[in-house]
Amino acid sequence: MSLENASETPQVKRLVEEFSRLPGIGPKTAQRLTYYLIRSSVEQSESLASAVLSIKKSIVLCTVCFHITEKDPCGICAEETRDSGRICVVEEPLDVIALERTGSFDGLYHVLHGAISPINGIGPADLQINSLIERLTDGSVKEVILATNPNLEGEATSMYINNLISGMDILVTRPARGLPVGGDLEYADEATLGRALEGRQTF
Amino acid sequence: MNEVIYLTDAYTMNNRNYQTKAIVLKQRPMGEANRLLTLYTETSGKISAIARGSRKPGSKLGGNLELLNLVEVSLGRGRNLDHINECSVIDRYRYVREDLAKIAHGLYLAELCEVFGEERSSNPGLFRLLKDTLVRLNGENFSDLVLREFEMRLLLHCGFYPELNECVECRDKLQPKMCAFVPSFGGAICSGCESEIGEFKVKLSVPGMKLLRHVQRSNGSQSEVGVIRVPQEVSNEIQNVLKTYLEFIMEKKIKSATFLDLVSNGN
Repeated sequence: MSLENASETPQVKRLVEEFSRLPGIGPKTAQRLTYYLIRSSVEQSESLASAVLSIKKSIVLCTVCFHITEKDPCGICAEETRDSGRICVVEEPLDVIALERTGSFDGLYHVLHGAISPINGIGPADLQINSLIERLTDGSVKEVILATNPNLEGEATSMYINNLISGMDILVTRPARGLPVGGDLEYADEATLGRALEGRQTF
Repeated sequence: MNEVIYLTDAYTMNNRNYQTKAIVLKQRPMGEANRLLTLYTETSGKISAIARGSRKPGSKLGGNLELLNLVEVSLGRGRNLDHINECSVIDRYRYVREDLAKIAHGLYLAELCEVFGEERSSNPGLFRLLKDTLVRLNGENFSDLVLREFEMRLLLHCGFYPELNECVECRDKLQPKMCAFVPSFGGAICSGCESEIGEFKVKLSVPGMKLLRHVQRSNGSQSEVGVIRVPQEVSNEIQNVLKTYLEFIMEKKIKSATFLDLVSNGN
C-alpha cells in the first residue's frame, strides 16, 4: 500500500487530528509527524505511545505546592533540608524547573497554574490562590517571593496576592528586574532599562 | 514648490510594510518564543500580528508590546498574519500598571475594544477614545462615570448609540417619569408602551435617565463627568443598563467585568 493511499485511511486521519490538537502544531506538522511514525519502527512507536500513556497515569499534582510529580508530596516539598519558611510563588510548573536550575533558591514553591487574565475570563478563583493563603495561615512562613511573569497579567496576579497577604506578618518580595546577562544595553527596552536603573546596586 | 514626502507617509505607501500607532489589547503565547497580539491601530482598526521571539528574555519587542501600551509599530504584511518588525513605546500609562483597580479598568476597556473593533476596518474615533480614556485612567479623578462615558461613546463609534429622548416604540418624547430600556430595540420606551412590549427590558428611574443623558452629552473632556458626584444606586443603575445593552450586542458576557467588580469591591 502506498503512502498516498494510506493518507486516506481513518487511522492516519485520526492520528493527524490528534497531533493537530497539540499546542504549536498545525495540520502540516501533524501530517509530517504522522508520516514519520508510519515510516519508523514499531518499537519507536510503542515507546512513544507508552511514554504518553505513563505520563497521564503516573503524573499527579502535589497536594502541597501543586507542582507536577509522580509522588505526593513532590520531591521538593518532601526534602527536609529545604527552608520551609520561604515560598516562591510561580505561574507554571516549568517556572519551578527554571528556578531550580539556578541552584540559588532552597525554599519551597507554590504553583498557581496560570495568571489572572480578565480578558480571557481567568479570575483568582481559577488559580491556586486560595490554597496558597491556606498554606500561609499556620504562621511558619516568613517570606513569600512573588515570581510571576513580569508582564501586566503577572503583575496583576502579584498585586492581588499581595493584597490578600498584607494583613499577615509575612515579608513579600519580588525578583529583581533588569538587564539580561550577556545582553546589550542599547537593545534593552525602556521599561527594562528603567527598572534596571531603579534597582541599581552599590558596586 | 517641491512636494514634501514625510518618512511616515513613505512607510505607509509601501505595500509590504506599514507603520501605525497602536494599543495592545490582547496577547497569547504562540510557538516556541513568539506572541500572537491583538492590536487596535489608528489606521487599520483591529489587527492580529505575530511578534517573533518576543518571549525570549533579551527580546526588545517583549517589553515594548506589553498589554495596554500605546506604541508605534512597523508591520510587515504576511500571508495570514502580519508580523511586527519594530516597535517603540509612546506611552506605557505607568500609573495604570501600579494599581490593581486601574489594571482591571484598563483590561475592561481593552476587552470592549477587542470585541467591538472591526478587523481591518479603520475607526480613528474608537482609537482616539481608547487612547484618551487610558490617559484619564492614568491620571487622577478617574471615576466609574468615565467608564460609563467610554461605553456610551464606544456605542456611538460602533453604530449602536442608544435612543434616550424619544420612545423607540411610539416615537413620543419621553416624559420625566419611570420608563424602561429595551436592549433589542436599542433605546428607552415610555411607561405607556412598556406593558405592551414583551421584549426583555431594564427599569430606568428618572435620575438614572438624567444621568445617562448627561453621559451621552458629555464630550470626553476631563471636567465633564469625571468629577461629578452621583448617588451610588443611580451609578449602579446606569452601569446595569449599559452592561445589559453591551452584552446584548456582544451576544456574550463581558469576561473582565467579574474581575473588575471583584477588585472594585476591595478584593
